[in-house]
Amino acid sequence: MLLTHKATVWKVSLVTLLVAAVIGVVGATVYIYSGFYDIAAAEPHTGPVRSVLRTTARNSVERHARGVEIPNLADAKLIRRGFELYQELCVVCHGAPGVAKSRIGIGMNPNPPPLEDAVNYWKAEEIYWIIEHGLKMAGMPAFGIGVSPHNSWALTAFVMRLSSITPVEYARMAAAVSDPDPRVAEAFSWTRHEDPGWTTLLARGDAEEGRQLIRELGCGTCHRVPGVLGATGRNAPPLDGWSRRHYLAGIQMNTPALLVDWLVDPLAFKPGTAMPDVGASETEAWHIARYLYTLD
Amino acid sequence: VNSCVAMRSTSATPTRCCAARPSWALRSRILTIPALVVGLAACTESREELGRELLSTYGCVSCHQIPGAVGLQGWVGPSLEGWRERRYIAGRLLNTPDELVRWIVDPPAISPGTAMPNLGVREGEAGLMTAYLFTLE
Repeated sequence: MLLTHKATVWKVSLVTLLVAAVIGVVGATVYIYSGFYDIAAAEPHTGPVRSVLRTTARNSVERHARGVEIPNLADAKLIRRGFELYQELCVVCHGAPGVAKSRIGIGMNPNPPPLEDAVNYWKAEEIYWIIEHGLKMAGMPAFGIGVSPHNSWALTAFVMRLSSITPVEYARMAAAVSDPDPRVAEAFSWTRHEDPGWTTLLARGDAEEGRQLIRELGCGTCHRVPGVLGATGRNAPPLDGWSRRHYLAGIQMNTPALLVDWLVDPLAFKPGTAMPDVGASETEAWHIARYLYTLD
Repeated sequence: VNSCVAMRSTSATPTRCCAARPSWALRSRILTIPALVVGLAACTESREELGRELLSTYGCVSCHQIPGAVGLQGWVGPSLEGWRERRYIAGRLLNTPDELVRWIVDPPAISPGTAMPNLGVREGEAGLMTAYLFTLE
């Protein structure tokens, strides 16, 4: 009795599954052949599709790039070669500091991301792997086809360097390589020497003091600052996620050292800015900076 | 939708826009009604709606956090949350719709050295983007 009952359950489930599968296949076939799917690049993917594509790409790159050996990416010659290749191959779709991508990059789906802050999302070997092998379903070509891996490493070296290049500096680089005198490009400083100030931030900044200073100096009347009582201003950009922000005041890199300069004397940093000099001393600015970089 | 953007930014009537695709209705009678509904829906999108889509197509979202816009939202530039209440643009201009259009169309002309590039956005398109940004509270 029990046995036959069990058998019926199995049969019913199996038939249901089969019917569901057949309906699924037929439905998918009808959908594919009807042309109802909107293939237009201008039409965004649905949320779930985007999420699947992104997660698949992220995990695939992480796995495949594992164990790739990295050459010296701080080499000036490599960076310079990378810059030339970047201008030739990457700007079209990704743009550069202060430089727009072309109409080609604007029409793509998904949008080619800006590479200024690529280092926040990918490791060097992953950036190399993406350049060398490309990305399916993202329109990213495999630049490694038919050329030496040296090119992909040069591009990687430059993309790593890109995180510390201002729009003005990028323009200078372009001028240096296009100078008819090759010695100009040779003499250009392709690596960066200024200290971004991360160690000083840890040594001199106190987040709790910073939070209080933000309240006392009234930063919150213009900026929304999470975690600071009453800091709900709407006049100026919200400072949520400050640690992830790439640019500072739209013209400089967001580093502790530069942030302190900006806080101490905004008008010297960016003439004509609406940000006033609130009278923060350098010591106070380090505290404020320490707090702001806790915002994620 | 794209042809509608062009139409909208030159303020043409929506009906004219839909009449441009008759092949849909011809394929099958059964498809006529859904096709009309879908077509009308696409063409009756508000200026704000079209602006929101343009903020994605031009890739504005890849640098700015823009509530409601589709796409991977980046942190390269400031968040545009609560734009309506914002007092300044780029720390230099007073935030009015007209000034915002001027800024979007050519940022480096207003703030030399800015990281925000001139993306070749047309004035009509910038107007639509502005319409959407000013809905953000």
